[in-house]
Amino acid sequence: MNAFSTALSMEWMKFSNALLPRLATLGIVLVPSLVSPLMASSRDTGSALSATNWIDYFDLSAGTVATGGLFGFGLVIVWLFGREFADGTITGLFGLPVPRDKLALAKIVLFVLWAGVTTLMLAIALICVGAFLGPGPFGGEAWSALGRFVAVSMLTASLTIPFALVATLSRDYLAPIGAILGVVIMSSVLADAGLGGWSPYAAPGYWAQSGGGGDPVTITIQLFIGVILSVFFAGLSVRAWKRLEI
Amino acid sequence: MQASLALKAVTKIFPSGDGVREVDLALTPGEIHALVGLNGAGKSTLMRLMLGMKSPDSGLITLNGVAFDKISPDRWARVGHLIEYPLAYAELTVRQNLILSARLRGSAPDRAKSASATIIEKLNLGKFAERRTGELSLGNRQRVGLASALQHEPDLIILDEPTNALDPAGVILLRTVLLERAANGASVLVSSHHLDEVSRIADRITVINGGRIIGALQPGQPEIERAFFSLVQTDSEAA
Repeated sequence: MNAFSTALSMEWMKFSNALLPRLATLGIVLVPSLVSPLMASSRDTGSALSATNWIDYFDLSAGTVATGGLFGFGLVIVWLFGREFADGTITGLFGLPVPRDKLALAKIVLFVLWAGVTTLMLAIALICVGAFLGPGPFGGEAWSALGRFVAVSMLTASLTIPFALVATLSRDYLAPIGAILGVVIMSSVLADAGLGGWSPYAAPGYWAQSGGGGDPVTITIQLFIGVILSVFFAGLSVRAWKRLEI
Repeated sequence: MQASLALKAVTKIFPSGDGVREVDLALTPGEIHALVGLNGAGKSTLMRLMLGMKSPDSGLITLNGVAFDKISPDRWARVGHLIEYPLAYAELTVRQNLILSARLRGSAPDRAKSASATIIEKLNLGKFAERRTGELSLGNRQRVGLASALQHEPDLIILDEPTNALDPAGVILLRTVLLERAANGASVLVSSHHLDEVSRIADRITVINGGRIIGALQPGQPEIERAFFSLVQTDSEAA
């Protein structure tokens, strides 16, 4: 077994036994799919439950995940990296045959895999709740909207990867959680200023809000900026762990 | 294979002015080497330098003649250390933590299981083996950290204040394991405030003060604490 697969299996051992990832999974799956129906009686136009068809239902749910997911997914990536410093276990991760950059990469890969599984669980939960609410027939465009929802959720998850670097550099939880809050507020301000699509953290929600409409080239570029940002910060986080001194 | 760690004129100064200066130190196979000094003397910094947690501003650190940045993963697999906090995750049981630690030190899954079972018995952790580490007392967590550092039979062992929080039974168990490892040819470095304790097990005792090596004490010498304070006081007055 090579160093990366060892690192990945050890990260999974910690992840699968810890409470926070379980709570985050529950929160991400349950809040959009179950809490919204409790508010359905109000039938506000901004609620997923006000949707009269599957397309609006998935797009409104995607809008919810684009904002709430930054906190849900963000907490997990911050915990994965910040805990080693907060718990003091980072000193034990030096002087090993498994290098620290492989450990950091394993954390990011595990996070992306978990985000994928959580997104699928949320999609299934939404379909179940949607079927109960009965928003009409499930046609080809509904599948597109479902695909858009999955993409928005995964993009939102990947946009939290930069907070791994904040946790590494600050060596704590507080700064990255503050950074998540700051990004959400800043994105909201930029969206109000009409720049939503060009703010990486607002772009997935903006795309969901447009219902898949708009210029495909512009939307692709706007979403791709977020992907590049995530990959760039994933690389910086791995590099920071490689060069880490404590 | 035996481990020889050598520091030559190693200096690391922090912005505060603290750190270590021009340190020469060698760990020899089969020897327990104790590093003693007051709080802030530079013991932990020196140990962190030896494990790559910090890089020196100048000087050279080598393991069996190989510079730090060229040490192979196989070589690191035979190093065991505990600096400040044990590598023990609160959500894992003692056994899981030990398996995790052994795997990260390069042991195959079966070997990691057998190594953890052996050290659990040796350090008398059987009663806690299936309990989550977060539920253990500070002393027992320290014991798990020591088990994690020693279970893979390393030939280079670096332990910072290993007897901290240990009860007398734990101190005796640790002493037995360290003596056994040294008898098998391991190089052992321990830092401690407990001069009586290091005097019992160490082959060499090096005194550090103000980031510099200022002398040595003879293991087993009478009035060792008086000799220690005399060395430190003389050095502090001269500085």
